[in-house]
This record gives sequence, C-alpha cells and structure tokens, in this order.
Amino acid sequence: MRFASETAANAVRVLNKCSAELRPEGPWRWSCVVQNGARLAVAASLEDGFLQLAFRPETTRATAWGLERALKANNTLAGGVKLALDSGSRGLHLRAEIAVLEEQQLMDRFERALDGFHHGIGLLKSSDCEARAGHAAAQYAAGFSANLGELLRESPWGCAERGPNEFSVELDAKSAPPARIRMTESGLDMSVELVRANQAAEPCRQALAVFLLTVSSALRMARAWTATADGQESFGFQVSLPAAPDPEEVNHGLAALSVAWRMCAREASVLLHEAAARCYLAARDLSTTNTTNKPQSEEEN
Amino acid sequence: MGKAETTLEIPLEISDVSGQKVFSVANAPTGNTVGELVHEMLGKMNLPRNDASGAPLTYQARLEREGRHLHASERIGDALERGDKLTLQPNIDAGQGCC
Repeated sequence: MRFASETAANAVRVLNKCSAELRPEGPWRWSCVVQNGARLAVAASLEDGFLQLAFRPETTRATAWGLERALKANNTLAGGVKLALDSGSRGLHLRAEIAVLEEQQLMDRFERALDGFHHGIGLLKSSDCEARAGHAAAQYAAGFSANLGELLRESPWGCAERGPNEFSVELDAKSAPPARIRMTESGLDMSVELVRANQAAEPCRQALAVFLLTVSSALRMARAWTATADGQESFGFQVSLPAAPDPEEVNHGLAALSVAWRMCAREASVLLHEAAARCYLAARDLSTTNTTNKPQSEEEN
Repeated sequence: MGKAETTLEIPLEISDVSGQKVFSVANAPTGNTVGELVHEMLGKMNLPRNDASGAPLTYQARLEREGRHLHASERIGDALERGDKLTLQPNIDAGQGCC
C-alpha cells in the first residue's frame, strides 16, 4: 500500500523529470509543459492515487460526424490516452489516468501517455481521424515476458482461458458479458462490449459516439471504442495497459470496465433506437439535421 | 436554491454525466456546501436515486475547470468561480473483493 504522501512524491518527481516547465496551479494540480517532439501544455492533477493528465485544445467544436470518427480512432492512441467530451460542451479533449506506482513505472507510463497525446493532437487536427489512426500504439509491442494467465489467476477476478494469450474475466457488474483480455502488439487490451447492432442507423452511431465519449471523461482509465466486424458494429469500453502491467493496474482496469458497464449499458441500448438517438443528439445540440435545438435547460431564480 | 444569510451568489452550469440534462443555476449561494448543492440539484434534475439492481446511488460533483471531484464539505465560495461547469455523477465502486 502506498500512502498519499508517497504517491504525491512519486508523481511530483516524475512530473519534474518529464516536464520542461512545471507550475503548481492549486492543491495537487499542476500545469506542465512537456516536450516529445512539439511542446505541449498539459494539466496534471492527483486524485485518489491516479495521476490525471489532460490537454484541452483552444478551439474544437466537433460535429456529430466528427465525433463518430473520433470514436473509431480512440483505441489507437498509445498509453491509454483517450479522446473525451465534456458533458457541457462540444469540444473534444485528450486525457489519461495513470495509476501511481513506483517512480520508474510511473515514468514509463507517463512517457507512453505523452506519445498518445501527441498522436491524439494529430487526430484532433485532422479532418479524418481514421486516416491517421493506428501508428502510435503499435510501437509498444516488444517486451512482454509476464505470464498473462498467471497474472489474471492471481487477481481476485474470475478468469477463463480462451486461447493463446487471450482470456475472459467476469466483471463486477450484473448481466455484463465477460471482459475480453488479450495481448496485442500494442500491449494488454481489456475490453467489454456494451451493445452490438447490424448496420446501426447513422443517428444511432453518432448518438452512441457522443454519449460514450462524454462518459469517458468521467471514467478513469476506460476509453470508448467502436469496431465493425462481420457486418456488425460493436460499441464498448477498453482499457489499454503496457505489455507487462502491474497487477494493481490490471485490478484498476477491470474495476474501470465494471463501472463503465454499470454506468452506460442500459443507456447505450436505448440509443440503438433511432428516435431516442435523435432526441439525445438534439439535446446535445448535435442533431444530424442541423436543427438548433438547445439542451434541456432551466433557469433557476 | 435556498437563500443563505449571505447574499453572495454565483451562477453555475450543472449537467448530468450524459450531458443530456443541463441546468443553469443563476444564484448558487457561496456560503452553501457542494454537498448541499448536489443534494438540491438531484431532485431538480430528476436523476435516478437507485442503480439497476436497486441499490442506492450517491452522487458527487466534478469540476470541469480543474478536472477534479469536489468534496461535499467544500464551500461553493471557496471552490467555485462564476460560470463553472459541474457534472453530477454517481459514485460507483467495483472490484473490491470482487468475484
């Protein structure tokens, strides 16, 4: 167990080592300029043993179409970095939550996240997220030596082997399907599927993108994803870890997927209905028909 | 919002986690606590009090400007600025002694 002061000390040391500039902004909050290629101003904060990093571009006002594209590219970012949407705005931002471990591990995670941030900025600047997806995550393929099965069996989560380096794990969420755990060229990929549809209508896909990207901003570690296979579209959440994760990270990641399921599964199912999806997009001022409906709002006196 | 003895008030924007419900609060008393604000807004925003399995839900407020969760005991006047955006989200824990 790490005490708060030890956690904070590790986080500050890593921020100091990895930042060209570091400025305190408040209790457990910093503004840091990092350099990995271009200079990048990142907000860092420490909460509940997690180092939270966020980059908010000055001008982004995404369209429903753009958000759908962003969702498709989301799981390609290195270091578990994710695109997320604040509930009260239409601007995408980049964020990552890193469990604070030992200093060297934290530094490794931080550097991976920086790569993810730089790739993510490219996505935000690009008009077609898909076109630039996929290059960053793959470079972390090397170095897996831990026994994934052993790692999972020693955890408190019930797991079953499904194939070489592929497992399923029962989540802490009623009626949730098992999470899929597999080793990929980019590291350990843990994911849960929320909904699947045959050729979901455009409003449904866009509403799911808006909703899942919004909830992503409130979830630690979990990032929204979508994929198409065999004519079916799946939507869910993923946690991306290094190829040799710490058992504590695996535990946090599976807990994050459980929370994501409990927060979103019912709502995601509802958004597969086109009428509900259109209502939600309108409430978020993101109607596919370019109407200017405003969010449900009340002025209180 | 109930009137506190102090008349200092600030406007806030409060939304649920999905962004579907967005409320503008014109006059949040700076002397009140975040917990009091959350409690009052839960009713106004008609947010669910129980999860899918019937277990009671508790909520916390996340301050977008700082990207942190506010403590219920923090005073609005100390923690918040005019026009701050808060997101109310349920507290959900998972994985403690799991499965």
